[in-house]
Amino acid sequence: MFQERKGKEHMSILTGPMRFHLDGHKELTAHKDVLVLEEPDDLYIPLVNGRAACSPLVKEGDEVKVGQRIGEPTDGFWYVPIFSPVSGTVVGIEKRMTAALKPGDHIHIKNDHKHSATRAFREFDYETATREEILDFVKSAGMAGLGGAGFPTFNKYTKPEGIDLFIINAVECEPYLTADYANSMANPELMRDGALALLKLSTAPKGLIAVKEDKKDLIEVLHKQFDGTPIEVAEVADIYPAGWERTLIYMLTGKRYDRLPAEAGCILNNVSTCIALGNAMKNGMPITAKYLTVSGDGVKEPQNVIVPVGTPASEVIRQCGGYVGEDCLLIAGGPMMGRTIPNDQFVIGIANNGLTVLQHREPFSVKCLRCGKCTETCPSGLVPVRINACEKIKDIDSLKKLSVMDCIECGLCTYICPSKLDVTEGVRRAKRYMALVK
Amino acid sequence: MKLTFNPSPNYRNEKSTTGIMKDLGLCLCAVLLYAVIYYCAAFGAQYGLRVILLACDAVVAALATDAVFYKFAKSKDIMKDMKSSYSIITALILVLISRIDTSYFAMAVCTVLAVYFGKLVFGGFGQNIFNPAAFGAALIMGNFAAGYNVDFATGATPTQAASSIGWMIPGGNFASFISQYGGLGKMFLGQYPSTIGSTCALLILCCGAFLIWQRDIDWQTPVFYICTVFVEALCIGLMHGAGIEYALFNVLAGGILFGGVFMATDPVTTPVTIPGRILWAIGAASLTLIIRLKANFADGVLFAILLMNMLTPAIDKLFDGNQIKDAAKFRKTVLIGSACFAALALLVGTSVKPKETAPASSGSAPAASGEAAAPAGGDVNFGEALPMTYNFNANKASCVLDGEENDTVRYACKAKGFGLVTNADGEYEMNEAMVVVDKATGKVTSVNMITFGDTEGVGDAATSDAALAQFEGKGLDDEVNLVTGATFTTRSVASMVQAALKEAGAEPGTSGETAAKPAAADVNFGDALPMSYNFNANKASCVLDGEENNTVRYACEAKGFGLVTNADGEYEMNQAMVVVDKATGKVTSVSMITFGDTAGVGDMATSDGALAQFEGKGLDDEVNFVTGATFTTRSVASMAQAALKAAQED
Repeated sequence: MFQERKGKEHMSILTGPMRFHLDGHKELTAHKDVLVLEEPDDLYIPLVNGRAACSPLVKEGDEVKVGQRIGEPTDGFWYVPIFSPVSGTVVGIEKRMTAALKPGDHIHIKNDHKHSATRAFREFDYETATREEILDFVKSAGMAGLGGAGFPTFNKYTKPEGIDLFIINAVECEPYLTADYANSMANPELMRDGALALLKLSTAPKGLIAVKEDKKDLIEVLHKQFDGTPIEVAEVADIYPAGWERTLIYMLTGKRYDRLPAEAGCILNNVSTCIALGNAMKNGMPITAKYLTVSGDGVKEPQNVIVPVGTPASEVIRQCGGYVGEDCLLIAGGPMMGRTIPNDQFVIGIANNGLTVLQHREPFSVKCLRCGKCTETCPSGLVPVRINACEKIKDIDSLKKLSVMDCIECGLCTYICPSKLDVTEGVRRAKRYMALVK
Repeated sequence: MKLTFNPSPNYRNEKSTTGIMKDLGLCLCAVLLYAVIYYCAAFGAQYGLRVILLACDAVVAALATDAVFYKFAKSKDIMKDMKSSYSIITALILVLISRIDTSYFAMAVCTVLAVYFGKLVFGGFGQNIFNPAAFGAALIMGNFAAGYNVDFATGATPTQAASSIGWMIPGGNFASFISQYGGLGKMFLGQYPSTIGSTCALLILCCGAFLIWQRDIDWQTPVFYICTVFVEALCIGLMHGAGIEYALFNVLAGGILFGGVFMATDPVTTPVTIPGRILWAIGAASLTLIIRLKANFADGVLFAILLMNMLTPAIDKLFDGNQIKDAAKFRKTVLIGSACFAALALLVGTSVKPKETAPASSGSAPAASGEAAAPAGGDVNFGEALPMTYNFNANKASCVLDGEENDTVRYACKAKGFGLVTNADGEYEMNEAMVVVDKATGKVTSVNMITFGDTEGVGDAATSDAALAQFEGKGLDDEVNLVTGATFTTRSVASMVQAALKEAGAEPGTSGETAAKPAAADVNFGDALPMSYNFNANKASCVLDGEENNTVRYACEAKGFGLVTNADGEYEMNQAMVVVDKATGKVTSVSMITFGDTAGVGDMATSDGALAQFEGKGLDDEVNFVTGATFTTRSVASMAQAALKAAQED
C-alpha cells in the first residue's frame, strides 16, 4: 500500500500543492555532538502538562529523587503524572510565568547534584504483557505526545476499532528542529521497543515509520532496527507540513478524514514518544530530560542539548553561548508553529523539543496582491486571503462558509505571503471572533 | 538585549511582491526590446526610437501620477508608497498594448488616467477592481482615437483586417489571408505590425514559462485562457469549414498571448482560488471570441478582461469554502460555469457570417457632385471609394488592343493582384481581363475576367459579375468602390480598367465638367483628400481681396508643417490667393504667395501641377495628396476650403 503512494503528489488541477518545501536550516545542529547540559541549581516543574493539570504529591522541605512521582493528575482523561527530573529538596510551590505567558504553579526543587535515583517502574516486557497491561503502563508512565501537543498517549489507544495502520511520525518538519533526529540516532533500540509496544497496543497488523527522504543516515538506522518487524520504513518528501497528521496520512495512504485519524484507520505517535516509552520499559525511568534543539541566528552556538525538565530557558540559552544581536525572537519550538516568548524565564516542559532564537527583522510589507499563494499551499484547503478580508469586515456568514475553524495555524500562509503580511494572525483573529459569536 | 513578541510564524519565504514585480518588469522589458528591434529593422530607426520614447513617456507619466497623488494624500513616506504601487508595470503594459501610432500626448494622458482612476482612487495597489492597463487602453480606444498619429501608419493589424471581414473567411480559405502577415510562422515570430508588444508569440510564451517557473504567476490562468480560445475558435472554424489555421490565427493575432500571460494573470483583479481562476480564464476566453465575432472592436482581449474583472468578486464568493471538503461542489461549479461560457461562445460562433455590412456609399463620404457610383450587385459588399485616377503603378497593369469596331475598342489587359505581396510560397499569377471601352465618351462598356490569379474564396468576390458591373459607364474621373475583403483584387481590376481607358485616349477631365486638370508631369498624387475634410488644425483664414462679376479673389493663410512642433521654432504660415466662381461654387485658380514649409519637401504641393488640381473643384469634390507633401497639400486645401466657404457666405 505504501509503496504505491510513495512520492505521489496531490494531483487535482483545481487545488494547489497544499504544501511547500522550505529551507529547514537543519544543518546548523543536525550533525553536531549533543551537549548534555549542566544541571541548574534550581528547577521549576510545571504542574500543568499541556492541558493535564496535576496536584502536587510533595510539600516544602521534602527530599525528592530522580524519577520520583511528585504530581498526580486531577483529571482521568488528561492524565499525565509528573516525575522529578533531579534529586534535591522541594523549596515550595511557586507561581512563574509559563510558556503560555500566563502565571502557573511550579514545584521548585533545589538540585543537590547527587543524581540519586529511584526506579519509577519495574522492568516491563511488552512482548509477554497483555494489551491492557501495556495500556496501563503507558498511562502511569506519563507518556504524552512529544511532538509538541502533549496529548496523553494512552487516550489514543483505549478503544482502537478498525485500525489497520500504526504510524510513527519521525518526520520533524519544523525548520531548525533536529531534536527528534538526534534522539532517534542516539537511541534506536529504545525506539524499536517503544514502537513495537505501541504497535501491539494499536491492534494494527502493520506499522510505518515515516521519515523525510533526505535523512539518509537515519533511514539506514531505521532499516537496521525495523527490517523483519511488521513496521516498514516510509520515506516522505521534504515538505512542510509533512509532520502534520492529516498531511502525513494523506501522503502515506491517500486518505482524508474529518476529525480523528482513526476514521482513516490510523493511529499516530511521535518517534520521541516511542523512545520515551522504550526507556520507561527498559530502564524504568519516566521523562526526566529532553532532547532540545537550540538553533537560529540569534544564538551563539546552535546545537542539540539534553536538558532536565524544569530548566529555565534562560539557562539553556546561557549554556549555548547566549544571544546574538540586540533584538531577538525567542521561540518555544520551531519558527513556524512555535510561539515567541518575550521573556526567557519559562521552563522546558516534557513536550518542548526546541528553542529557536532568531534576530528580529521587520519585513517590508505591502498590500495584499491577492496572489492566492496562501490558498495554494494551505494544507487544510482554506482560503486565508478571503478569511483575512472577511475578518476585517466581520462577515460572519462568509467566515462560516470559509470553515475558519479547520485552521491548524501551521503558519504556511504567512511564510509564503510575498507581501509579507501576517496572514496566519488574521486567521487566528477570525477563529477567535467566530468562537466569540458562536 | 531585548526579546520581542511577534505572532507566529516567524519564518518567511524569500519571494516578495517586489520580486514578482521585478520579474514581471524584466519580461515586459524583453518584449519592449524585441519591439524596438523589430520596428528599427522593419520600418527604420525613428520607429524604434518612438517605441522607446513612448515607453519613457508612459513610465514618467505613471511615476509622476503616483508622486503627485501621494503628495496630496499626505503620505507619511512617499518613497515607500511609490515603491509599493508598482505603477511602472501598468505603464509598460499600457505601452505594449498600444499601437505605435499613438501620440505621446494620448499615451501620457491614458497612463495618468490608468494609474489614477484605474488604481489610486480605489486605494492603490491591491485594491483596484479593473486591470489598470486594460482600463487605460480602453480609454485610448474609446476616447483618444484622434490620438493616432497619421505619420506613423504601419498598416492594419491582423485583428483589424480580420475584424473588417467579420473574423470569418468565406470558404474557409485562410492561408492567403494570413500570408499578408507572412504566414503563421512569421506571426509566431512576431514579424508584422500590430500593437507594440503583442506580436512575438515565441517571446511572450518564453516569458510566460519563465514567470510560471519562478512562481510569479500560476499556470492555470494563461493555459486555460489560451487553450480555451484555441478550442473554441477551432470549433467555430470547423462549423464554417475553416481548419486549424483559423484557430491558430485566432490565438496568434491580437492580444491573446500577451493578455493571457501579462494581463489575465494580474492577481489583484482576478479570483484568488484556483477553481475560480480557471472559471475566470474560460469566461474571459469565451468573451474575447464573442467580442471579436460580434462587437465593433477589432480585438476582444481588453474588454473581455475588463468584463471578467467585474465578475471577480462574485467568482471569489462562489468558491468560498474548504477546498478539500467542498472539492466535489467546486468541480461541479467549474464544469457548469465553463460549459455556460463555452456554449455562449459557440452559439455566437454558429451565427457568424463573413461581414455583409459596409454599404457602397459609405456614410462619412460627402455626396459626390458628379455621377453616382453604379449600384452594387447582389451579394458583393462594397467598401471605401477608389478613384479611377488612383496611382496603380504597383499593379503594373498593361493592355493590348484586341479588337475595334466603330468607337468601341476591346483591350486584353493584365495586372498583378495579390501577387503584390511577397509570398513565401512563390508569386501569385497575374489577373487577366477583357475591357471594352467606348472611345467617344471615354467610358467603360464592360469588363470580363479571363484569368483569375488571386486566392479563390477571398479575392474572387471582386471578380463577380456584380463587382465587375460597377465599372460600366465609368471614366477616369469617376470612382468605383473597393469590394470588402478583396481589396487587392479590386485594385488589380481597376488598374486594368485604368490602363485600358488611358490606352483608349481618355484623359481625366475631358468628360466630366467637374474634372481636374491633368496633373503636371513631375507631381505624384497619392490618396484622395475630400474638400469637405476637417481642416481645423490648419487654422485657415481668408480676406476678400477683390471681386468682379461672379469671380471673387481671397487672400488666405493657413498653417502647414507648422502644425508640427519643431525644435528650431515654428514654421511660417502658408499664404495663397484663391479665386472662386461664386455662381458655380468652384475654384477658378489657386496661386501661392508665401511658402512657409520646408523647401524641397512641401513645395511639391505648391507646384503649378499640384495647384492645378484645385481648379473646378467645389466643397463636394476631392483632390489628391501630393506624395511626400501631405501637410502642405492639406494646408493649400484648407485655404481653398476657407475661400469656398467664404464665397458661399457672401
